[in-house]
Amino acid sequence: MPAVLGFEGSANKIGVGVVRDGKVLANPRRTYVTPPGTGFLPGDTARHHRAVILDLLQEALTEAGLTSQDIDCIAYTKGPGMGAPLVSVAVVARTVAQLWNKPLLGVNHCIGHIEMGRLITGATNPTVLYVSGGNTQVIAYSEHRYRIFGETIDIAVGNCLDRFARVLKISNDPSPGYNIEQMAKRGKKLVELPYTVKGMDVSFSGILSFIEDVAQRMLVTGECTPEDLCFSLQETVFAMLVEITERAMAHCGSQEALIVGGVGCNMRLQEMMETMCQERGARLFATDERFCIDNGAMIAQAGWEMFRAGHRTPLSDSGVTQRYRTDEVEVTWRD
Amino acid sequence: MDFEGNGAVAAAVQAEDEGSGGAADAGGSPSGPEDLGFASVLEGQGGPGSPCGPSGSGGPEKQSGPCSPNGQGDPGPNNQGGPGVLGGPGVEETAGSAAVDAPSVTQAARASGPGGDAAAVAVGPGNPQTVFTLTLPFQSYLEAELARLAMDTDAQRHWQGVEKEVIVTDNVLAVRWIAEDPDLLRVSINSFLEQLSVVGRPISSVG
Repeated sequence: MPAVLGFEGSANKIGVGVVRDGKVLANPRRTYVTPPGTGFLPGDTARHHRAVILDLLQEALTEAGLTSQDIDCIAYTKGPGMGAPLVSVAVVARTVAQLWNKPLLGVNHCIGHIEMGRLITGATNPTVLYVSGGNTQVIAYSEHRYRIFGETIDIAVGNCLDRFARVLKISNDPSPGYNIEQMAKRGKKLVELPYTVKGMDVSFSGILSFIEDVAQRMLVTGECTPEDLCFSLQETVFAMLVEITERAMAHCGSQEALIVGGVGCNMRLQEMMETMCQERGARLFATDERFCIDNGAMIAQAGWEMFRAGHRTPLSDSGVTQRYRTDEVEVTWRD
Repeated sequence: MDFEGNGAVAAAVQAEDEGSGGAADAGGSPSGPEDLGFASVLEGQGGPGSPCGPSGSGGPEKQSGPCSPNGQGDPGPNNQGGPGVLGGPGVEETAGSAAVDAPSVTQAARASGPGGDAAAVAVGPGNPQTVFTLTLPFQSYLEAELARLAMDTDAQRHWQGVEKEVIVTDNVLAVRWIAEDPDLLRVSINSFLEQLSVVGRPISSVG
């Protein structure tokens, strides 16, 4: 019954989680929130993580009711993500692993999301829509790899939403995407925005440029309200995601869809995906904000799977990497 | 030189004439720390103000706390004893011993900073480089090596123009940076010290 401690800090969330045999024993998290109209920079984010990580570690152990001796493995996010935050967390993971004399495991952040989604929802072999501030991919498992069927060719959907929030000076607390979602519920008018699907892939940089350009003009002239813009942006980008997910499901003959990543918390996205799944006779799976948003337990869970399959990361190989593709990992723990 | 970190760190800077093949005081094998110009620094560790406590005998499980300023090895008011202790760099004691009689190098400009000197070194015609050396004593060799493994793994692959060398000798972690661009040098040093701040904190209270 191995217990795995997981460290996550690839973006502005820092989390430490403990998982044992499919049970999340602890999952505390902190978010680095910047003022409205601004984003989070790597150096400042890393400073935030360094300031709280050891307290989070203690909190996780206390919540789990465990000591260092009860932990069998230390997992951490190897990548992808922002460099300085990744390094800050990896340094602590290496230090703890050496002090406690435990094996170390570098985990792919995307696979952490997928494995936590599978654990929480019980989905067996879904087509995965992974949507967050840093990543947008449609993924399906095949022959020991999580294969990327489609993805963004430029920025992630969450990045598009976050940067639009900056234009309107929408608060980043608790997250810009959440606040856009609340404002969108009050939107009444659909503003036509560029819809860019390229086969299995999507592009969001054009829609962002467009809406940044027209937003101020339309708001000043009263053509629409900020709520209308939030509503229109969501409807457009989410429709694009639904299209490429459906295309992947048709290709794979899949009857399950799983949404993971921070943008997966969005209820409108879940609603649109549910409609598509129902029309296909498929099932939709999604998690709540505890596990959608970056967290330590997802790294611990992926680490748990990897640990049981015999994976280990020697210290000499424990560097982080900002570009770490989902399909680079050999998924030996699945058939 | 402006830097963050746990407070004062021992910084010993050597002026080296890179063109003449290394520090004049250095001797020994080409493959040892002497090549990094650390020998004359580390030889100064045995005197008063040197890192206190027995070195190499306790490892992370050693119960004593950080060195007291008089170098006697007494547990100080910030005793961080317990398993998994990183005593932290006992920097105050080593500041004195870390001062180095730099080999004579003509045209080396010196600028004093907190805890040490920085020196610009003429390497070749129109090719000045700045060398900055840091020595951090720990409670034991094991702790120093632990810190090195924790911090040195993410090599500065992407930082062109900054060369960093890290060695552990006895209980001392020594780091040397060489760079032409002082801004890159500053960023690299700051990054190292920021990482040191989470490695050196009392982790013994956890678990």
